[in-house]
Amino acid sequence: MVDTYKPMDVFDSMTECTFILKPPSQQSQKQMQQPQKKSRAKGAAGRRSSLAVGREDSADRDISANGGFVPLLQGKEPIESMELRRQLFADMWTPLERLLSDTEKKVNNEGVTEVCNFVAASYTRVETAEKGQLASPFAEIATAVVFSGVNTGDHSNLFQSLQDQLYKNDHYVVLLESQYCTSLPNMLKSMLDQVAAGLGVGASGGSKGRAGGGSGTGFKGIPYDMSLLQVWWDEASPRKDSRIVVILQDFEGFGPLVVDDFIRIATNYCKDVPIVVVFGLATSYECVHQSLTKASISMLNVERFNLQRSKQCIDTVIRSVFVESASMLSFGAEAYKSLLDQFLLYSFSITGFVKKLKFAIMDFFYAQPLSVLSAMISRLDQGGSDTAFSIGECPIRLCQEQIELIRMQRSVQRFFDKKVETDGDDGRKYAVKALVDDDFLQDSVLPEMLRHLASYRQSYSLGISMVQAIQDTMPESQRKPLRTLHYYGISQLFDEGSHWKTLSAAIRRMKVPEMVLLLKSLDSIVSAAGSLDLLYVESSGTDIVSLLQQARELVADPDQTLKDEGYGEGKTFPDAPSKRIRTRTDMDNRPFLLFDNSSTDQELRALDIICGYIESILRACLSPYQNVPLYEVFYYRHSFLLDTTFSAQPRAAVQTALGKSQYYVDCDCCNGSSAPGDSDQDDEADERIMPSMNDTSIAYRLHQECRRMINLYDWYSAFASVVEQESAFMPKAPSQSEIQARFVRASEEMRFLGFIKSTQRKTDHVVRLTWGH
Amino acid sequence: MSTEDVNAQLSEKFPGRSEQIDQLLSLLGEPTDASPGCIFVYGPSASGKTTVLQSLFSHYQAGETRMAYVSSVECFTARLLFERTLNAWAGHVPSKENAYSNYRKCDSLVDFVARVSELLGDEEQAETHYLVVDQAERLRGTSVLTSLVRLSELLGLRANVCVVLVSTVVWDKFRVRHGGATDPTLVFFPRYTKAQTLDILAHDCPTGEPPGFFLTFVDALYEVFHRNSTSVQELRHLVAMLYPKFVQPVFEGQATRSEFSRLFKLCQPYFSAASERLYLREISTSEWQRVAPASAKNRAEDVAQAIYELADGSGSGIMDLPYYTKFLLVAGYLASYNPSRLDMQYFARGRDPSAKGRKRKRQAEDSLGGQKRQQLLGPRAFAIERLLAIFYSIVAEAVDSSVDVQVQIASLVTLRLFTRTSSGDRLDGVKCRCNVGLETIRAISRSVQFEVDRFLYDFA
Repeated sequence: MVDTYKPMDVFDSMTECTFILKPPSQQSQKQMQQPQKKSRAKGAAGRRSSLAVGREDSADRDISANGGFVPLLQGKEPIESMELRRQLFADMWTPLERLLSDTEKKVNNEGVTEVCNFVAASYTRVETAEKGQLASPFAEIATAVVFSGVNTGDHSNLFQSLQDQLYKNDHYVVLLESQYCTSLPNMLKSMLDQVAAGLGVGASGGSKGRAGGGSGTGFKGIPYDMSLLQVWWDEASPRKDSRIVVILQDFEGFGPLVVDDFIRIATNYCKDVPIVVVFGLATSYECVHQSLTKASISMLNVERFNLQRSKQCIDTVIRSVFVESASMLSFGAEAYKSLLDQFLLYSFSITGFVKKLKFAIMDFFYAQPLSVLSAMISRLDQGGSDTAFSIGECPIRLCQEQIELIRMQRSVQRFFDKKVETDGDDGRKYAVKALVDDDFLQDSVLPEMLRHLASYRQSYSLGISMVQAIQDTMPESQRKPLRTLHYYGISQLFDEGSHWKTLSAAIRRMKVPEMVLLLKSLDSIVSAAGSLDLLYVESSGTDIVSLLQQARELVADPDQTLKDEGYGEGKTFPDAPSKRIRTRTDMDNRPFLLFDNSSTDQELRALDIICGYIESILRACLSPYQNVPLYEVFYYRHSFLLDTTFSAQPRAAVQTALGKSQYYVDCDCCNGSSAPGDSDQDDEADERIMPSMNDTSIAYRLHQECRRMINLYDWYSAFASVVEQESAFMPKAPSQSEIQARFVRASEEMRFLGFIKSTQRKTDHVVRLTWGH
Repeated sequence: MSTEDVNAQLSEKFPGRSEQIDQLLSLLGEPTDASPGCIFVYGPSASGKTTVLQSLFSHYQAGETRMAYVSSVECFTARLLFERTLNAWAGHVPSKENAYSNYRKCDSLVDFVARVSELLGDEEQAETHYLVVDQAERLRGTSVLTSLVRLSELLGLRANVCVVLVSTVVWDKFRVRHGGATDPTLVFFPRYTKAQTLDILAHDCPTGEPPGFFLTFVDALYEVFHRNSTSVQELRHLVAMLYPKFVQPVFEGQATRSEFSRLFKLCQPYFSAASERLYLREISTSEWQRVAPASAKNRAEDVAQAIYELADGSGSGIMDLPYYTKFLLVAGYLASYNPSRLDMQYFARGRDPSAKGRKRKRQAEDSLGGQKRQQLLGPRAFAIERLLAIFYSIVAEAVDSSVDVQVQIASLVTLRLFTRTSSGDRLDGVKCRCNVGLETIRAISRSVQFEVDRFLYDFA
């Protein structure tokens, strides 16, 4: 487990992502006061007392009074600080949530508009004046096939926005989901209901009164019949360019015969009623051919639209949330990987991504006592392209424990060490004062450290933009998406990874005109960033602006500049290519020079120097975040928490429950004599099989000692010998037949859980299906 | 209009169908004549059954209320069918005024017979009322069919009713197993011959085009495509799609109408593309119309390329799946097509090279003559445990057995890339089958750098 601090609270989930709000019973309040010991025990305690939740409403309200926020630092955190965290969470999440949903909408919008245009253009094909044109003999239904990607969870958002957009354009939209359309009557019913609601037939028609305000559209007792659609359409006489758009959201889920029949029916009406069908396909077009018959496919006039843009959407989100840091909280490499892996490896689901992100932010403000520091940083200009941060006062005074916690962070200690190193005696005094004087730490040291952090963030996003600018000059196949670049950027490996080699090879292969273009785009990136606080980059001895300036001069006039700088004929640069390929080493190292006849020696040397400049700029900008003070606070790193919460492992949970049941049950009897909190003795206690344990748990532990084949009789005797000891704490020892019955039940449960299997190979034996302990 | 006039008119409109029209007209007779109780019209699809019947009835009688046309795909319950029929015969149209209700509520056959005799019984000189049921094969095996066949018998003298069943299936398949069914009068619509087809297509000739030129083109097209499909509709569709491309060079002045073979040469790429893509509707009408027109300016390869791209392009190619989901799908394919007894050989880690060699050899023998190859038999159902075992062994890195994997299996089932073969209420021992073809699997494994062919047993 990576995390060192743990919130000791009810929101601690083991594997199931289930939280149980417990009333503050005597026991748990007592535990709250106690110094932090085993948070696991706390979670379990919560589970145990969960049954009481329903009954004690007043107590329940008590817990959720602060939206679940509790004072941290063993309860010593001041109430204002807790309130501030709560406030900060709301301040951060609300705009972020809006940003996320806006991004998703914006990304989807393009495709949605295409589909809308298609719908508007359908059935309007005027007889073209083109000579030799024939009409198709089939009455074809205009059909849009929309590829929406496999992330089915996000589809409702996508189709919702499609529906909204179509509504706006005065079309009548019917959104069908396969779960409500298991048969043709169901499908027609839900379709006609929606059409009636859209056309307003049900509401205004006299039928409703007669039917006595019947359910839905009020057509009680009338069979759902497509001929009604035509009647309604004629009566409602909507605008000429209105269409009835039938969206089958999850085409794969529909029964093939149902859709087939639906299309055959719809063709009978599409001459009079303009029906447009939209298929939402998650897989491929092949699926349409697989499920529909030739006859009905020939009734469709298909246009294909690609709306699977979840990757694009994620890139935009990552840019605005992490790279350009809309908020101060960012993700450490591990946590970011966990966030991204879930997306790329398993689901492509934006909803899942957002959920995880929200959980992490909640956890940050909920469990990190130093999260109040983010109140000190704010954007200078919200919404503008200006990326500068401003450091303000902390609205509350930090308490003693928080100050101590800040001092204990390793990055802060390193920050002080560096001060001492660079400033000598002054630095020493500064460090000592910061360590002793709480007010000094909060009022002057903290803002300085945060300024470092903010400045690092700026230069980081600058660096990523520059890398993207360089990538733009490379062929498509070598480019990496932003999500990967960001991962390289935060995983400390940027200038070691293979992509760095590709990048630097790309710039080293450039010739003068290309370099001029690249420098121009780098320049525009720097100037677009607005007021930059380059404190961080400068502290590492790199001056981006002046380096770029020098590079521009070099490339403009290589001969002159080189001479001015003193790289003349007399002086030779050790690794500069002072000549063309003349030796075998040259050939090996720079084979591309073979093809390069256009550049002069001077130009080559100038280019080489510029490449060095660019590389050092990138190195400075993309240096690992671990060098920044207070990174422990602002780079979220609880990947374990995210993994256990969102990627539950059912098998592991079952095995833990059976093999280490005290983990869940947390009873005194099974823990034996070992003191809670003492992990060494805990492990020993785990091994002991207590008669007070659950029968299945006993059987499970016993079977772990067996090899592949388990002799049922031996197993039973071992089981009986454990269970018989119950007499120690039970009034009566179990009888022989009771033990037998309990054993049969336990072994049957083991079979059900998939640990053993009956076999024909040996009598009275079962096969073990799992290995190891 | 006399019967002869109708006959002449329709025969001109429907070339090659005069015999059937004649037969039908003689069966129908005068409006007040007693007609056969049931007429069964059958023949292959696109042989003009419905169209002929509809125009025959519209020519044949003055009032529309004597003919009810229902499609049994649309009227999926007996109630719908009965109520529609009554609506048509009574001239009743559901509207706002009558609260969109039908003429009468009619749930069962008894009701229907009663309502019909109510509706038609009081007429002095009973004119025959017709009920045309299209796609009647849907009614097979239902009681509705048997009762429709004997409807006029049930009504007796109270009403003069004739039921016309239209189907692509022969009557033998309709006949109920136990006796008691009467056979209807059969009218067969045979497939159109080549001459008839050309006659029909001559009607399609666009205005301003010389019919002779057009027919030569159609003739050529018929020769090419009649092996694939003899359906007139399909041929008309192809003509409509291909003819504009064919004459385009004439309009552009690059060829004259007399240079027939040159025109064909220019149109060649379109023909070859059409034979598969257009016929299978992998390219739809509107997409096709966007393809560049045939002219001497375009190179044949470019055109063919554009057509193939159209069919494969725009996201219809490989589906984009998450990384592990791709492996799950590949694992499902392997589990479906490999015999489970060989799993150890293929997937156990640290297999010895000699075993591998042996396997290779046998594979070579089998691939030629394996009559019972799984590849030919189709995918086999596999247990989820086996799928997971294969999955974990083909994924390069160690994967946690988290719930995410299970969720992905479930979503593959919803996407119908796996089909579940065990019943829905069985929670343990779920069995699935992989519903994806080899080509797709190859493309997917290529995208994750996995050599699927190395793991496939007995594949040619």
